[in-house]
Amino acid sequence: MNTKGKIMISCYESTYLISKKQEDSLSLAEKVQLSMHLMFCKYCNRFAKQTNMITKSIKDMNRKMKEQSVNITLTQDQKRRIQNAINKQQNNK
Amino acid sequence: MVSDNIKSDPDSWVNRYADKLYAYAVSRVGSVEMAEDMVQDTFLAGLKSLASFKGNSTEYTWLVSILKRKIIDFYRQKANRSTVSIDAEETRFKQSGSMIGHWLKERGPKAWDNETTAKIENEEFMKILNYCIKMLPDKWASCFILRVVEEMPGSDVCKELNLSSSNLWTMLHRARLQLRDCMEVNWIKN
Repeated sequence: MNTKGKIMISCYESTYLISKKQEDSLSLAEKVQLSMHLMFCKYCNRFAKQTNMITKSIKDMNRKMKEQSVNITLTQDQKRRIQNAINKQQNNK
Repeated sequence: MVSDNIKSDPDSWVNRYADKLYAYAVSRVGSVEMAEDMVQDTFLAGLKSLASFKGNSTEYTWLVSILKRKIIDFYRQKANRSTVSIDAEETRFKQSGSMIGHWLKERGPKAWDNETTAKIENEEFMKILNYCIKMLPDKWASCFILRVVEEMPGSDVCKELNLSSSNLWTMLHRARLQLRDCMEVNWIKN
């Protein structure tokens, strides 16, 4: 999306910049456009706040999952199946 | 003269690594059947490329790198299969008039009260967030998961999914609009 040369951007453009800001740095012009928009738009302020919260929750969730996932294990049956597949491939060599 | 002390022992793989790889895969693809297949495929791919295992890393790290490749392939295929294209602009923003591109009043984000924000540690919230990520159209979901969940660099995501960087920003923008809506509908009103 190209917002170059605009003073006032729309909410569609503003939410795009809010999303992009989470991934990449904005250009100076984009920063000015976004902060001017956020000065008066309550919807986009909410969007920014809620979207940030969602991203943060995902990061927290990942961290937690990486710690907890150790508890998930395969059953003996599943392991046997995998072992059989390995044996089969080795014998085919 | 060359001592061959860098050994890999495929016969011990299942015992030593299957559970760890499985847990890793489950946490990333969210499906136990898919995860089981991936662990098996990882071992088989490992057998094939045994010669490329240099012993620079541990055997486990090496197998994880193969598994990661499988996970990226999984999301890439998912993205390619997807044909859904919902125009985010049309359903949420005004299409004409002097306020073109601004939120339609009935679609504008509603305030999530303080109580809501405080519930971030809530299991229910996380369950619904997972559900909402799964509900994203495949293509957006693949972008979103690789970039935001897996924290893969944007340039790598573009390469894997064959997107330009502005394509990627657009996909992520749409995914975020959709995700926020889904959370508002399914959780906030609970």
